Amino acid sequence: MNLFKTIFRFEWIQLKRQYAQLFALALFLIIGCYAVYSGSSVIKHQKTVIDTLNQQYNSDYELAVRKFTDTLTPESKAQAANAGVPQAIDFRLPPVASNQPKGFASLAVGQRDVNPYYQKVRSQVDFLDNGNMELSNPSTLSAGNFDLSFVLVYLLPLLIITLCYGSYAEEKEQGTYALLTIQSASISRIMIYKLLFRAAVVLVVTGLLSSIAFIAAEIIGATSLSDILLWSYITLMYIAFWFAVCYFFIQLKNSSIATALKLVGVWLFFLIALPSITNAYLSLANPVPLRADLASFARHAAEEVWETKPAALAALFNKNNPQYNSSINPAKDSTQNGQRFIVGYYDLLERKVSGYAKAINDEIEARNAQAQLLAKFSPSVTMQYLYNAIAQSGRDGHMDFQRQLSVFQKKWKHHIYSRQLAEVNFTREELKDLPKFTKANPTSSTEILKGSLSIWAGLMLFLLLANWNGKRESSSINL
Amino acid sequence: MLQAINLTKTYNSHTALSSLDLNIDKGEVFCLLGQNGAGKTTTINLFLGFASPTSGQALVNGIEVANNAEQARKHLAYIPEVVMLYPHLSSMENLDFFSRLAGFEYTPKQLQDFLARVGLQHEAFEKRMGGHSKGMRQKVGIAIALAKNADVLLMDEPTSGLDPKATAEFTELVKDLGKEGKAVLMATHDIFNAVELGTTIGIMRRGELIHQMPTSNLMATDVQKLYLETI
Repeated sequence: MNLFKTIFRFEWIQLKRQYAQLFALALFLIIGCYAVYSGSSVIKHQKTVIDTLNQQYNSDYELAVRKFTDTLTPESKAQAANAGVPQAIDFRLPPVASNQPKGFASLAVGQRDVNPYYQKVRSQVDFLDNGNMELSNPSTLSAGNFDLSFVLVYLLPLLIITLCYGSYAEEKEQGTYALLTIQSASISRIMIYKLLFRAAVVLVVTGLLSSIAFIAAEIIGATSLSDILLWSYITLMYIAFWFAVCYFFIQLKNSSIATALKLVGVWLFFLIALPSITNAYLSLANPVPLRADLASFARHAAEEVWETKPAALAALFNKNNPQYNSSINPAKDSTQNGQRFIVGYYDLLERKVSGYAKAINDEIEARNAQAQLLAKFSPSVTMQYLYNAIAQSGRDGHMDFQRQLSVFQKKWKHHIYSRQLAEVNFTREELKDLPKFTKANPTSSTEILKGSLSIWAGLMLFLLLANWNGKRESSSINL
Repeated sequence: MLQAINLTKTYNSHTALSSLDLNIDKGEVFCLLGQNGAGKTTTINLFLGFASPTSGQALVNGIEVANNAEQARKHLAYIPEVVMLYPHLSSMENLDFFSRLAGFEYTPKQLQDFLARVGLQHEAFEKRMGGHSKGMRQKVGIAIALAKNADVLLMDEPTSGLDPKATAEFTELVKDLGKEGKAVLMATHDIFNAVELGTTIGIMRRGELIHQMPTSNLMATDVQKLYLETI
């Protein structure tokens, strides 16, 4: 314990007097603060957009309600009679489904800046809207934006390397190693305590930066506690991983320049080269399927379905959607003006195109599953995945939003179709009860803990290698 | 206290030290003379555990260094030819740090006394090592060795870089250490100084200890003559 206190005390004195290291710490903090600002700006803009959409909806709602009672002119009187027509409600009051960002999204923007985060839901699905475009470069998308998670994933290891690379070699190079060895205490313990001091410095700086980010993103209160703990857990784990890497290379007992070069090489390999190699492999093994074919298919399918005879189309619709059979009207349903033809047209078109889109989506899913598997070997992609998982700003968060959106879209469709097919209008009072989209935001701690295992495995591997190398060289000290 | 039994060190085909037998008792100041490459530093490094012997044994207070270097080093203090210390720490801080590593917690007054005893000017106590001359660093290094209060002192040309006054002070200091019962092994090129402070003188040539003699009734000129004949 005395040795521990001695090393910490004198390392602290030396740190205070080494301006290069203080500059590195200050620079890291400044860049980190800018990253917090940068991430917050993206998310703030998205929140503004969502607020504006909600305000627009409220204003559209007021207008739709007013249309029921506005009978001042013959024109408005005619409109009032049709104010509750289901198709009109579907057109005028499409509910806004928004992927409301969590507070942590400011810290880990993830893919939120490229994925659509809101949609106006209608009874028909447009397979060619932006939400259905392919994400052509999952590895690049996984690498992240300039936000706090980027600073922690990419720049924090550089700070650790800067602080640690010379902790052994500089003792030799400045000639203090012999004296340290002679002064009785175990040299390996001294080296470990020196690294622990650096780890403490990194923890303080990272903790300070994270606290600034939590306050800036208004992540406070008991509801955020589990997410704060998860965020802290994976950050601590990542710091430990990089200290294990540094410990291994320090144990090789090369010169400080050689150690620094090796550590920067490892940084480049893990954080830049490995994700690029993974992406190159994925592009060769699983090329991204083109959705351009889908547009062509959708056009041909639309023509084909439109050519279907109304009676046949209605019959097919009734067969596929027995829940609406109570509103069957054979006389009306056999004409192109009948509601069943219109609804049946969209229903059959959706069924045909969704089958084709599913094949493409399945290919993309397979590619993404493979990317996720390979990402386990890349600490940067794994860490970005974990941060995004907490913030629900990654691909999984987006897919979750899409799934919930799809369920809601079906609900909305049913709400409209059940009235449209029965030709029953909405009343003014019923507008209050129109379905509203609310997104559930569960953070899966188990997923995050499972996802962190590969980092732990890497950490243990480097510690074991360092230990093995230490034992190999412990027989004698060569000065 | 210090014992070498048939101690040999070879580097590839070169024999740096050949079958050295040596015994340095309590209160004895043994000065090793010899040309560069004669094996003086190798002998010290083998006692420090900085190198492993090819054959034979190096013992400190009966502890074999090759098998238990950490334990043996507890009984040793060391002054290298060039003392290098932490440039961002002051003389006092360096002394305090290395003393604490050795398990000694001294008061500031005690630390100052050590520095004063080795002749470091008072104004250099709080000055950072980065601004110290070689001689000043050497004095702090000697203070660190003194503060460890070890039974055995190993010195590799410790007066290198010291001015004549400081060298004279150092000579008196080592004599006092011998009188206090410390065993001292010092490698040096300075024959006159060796005769002045040593109780025994050894002359080495090409890894072998050729002559070993007590300094009582011995004149520096006699040693010089023998030295020149030997090398």
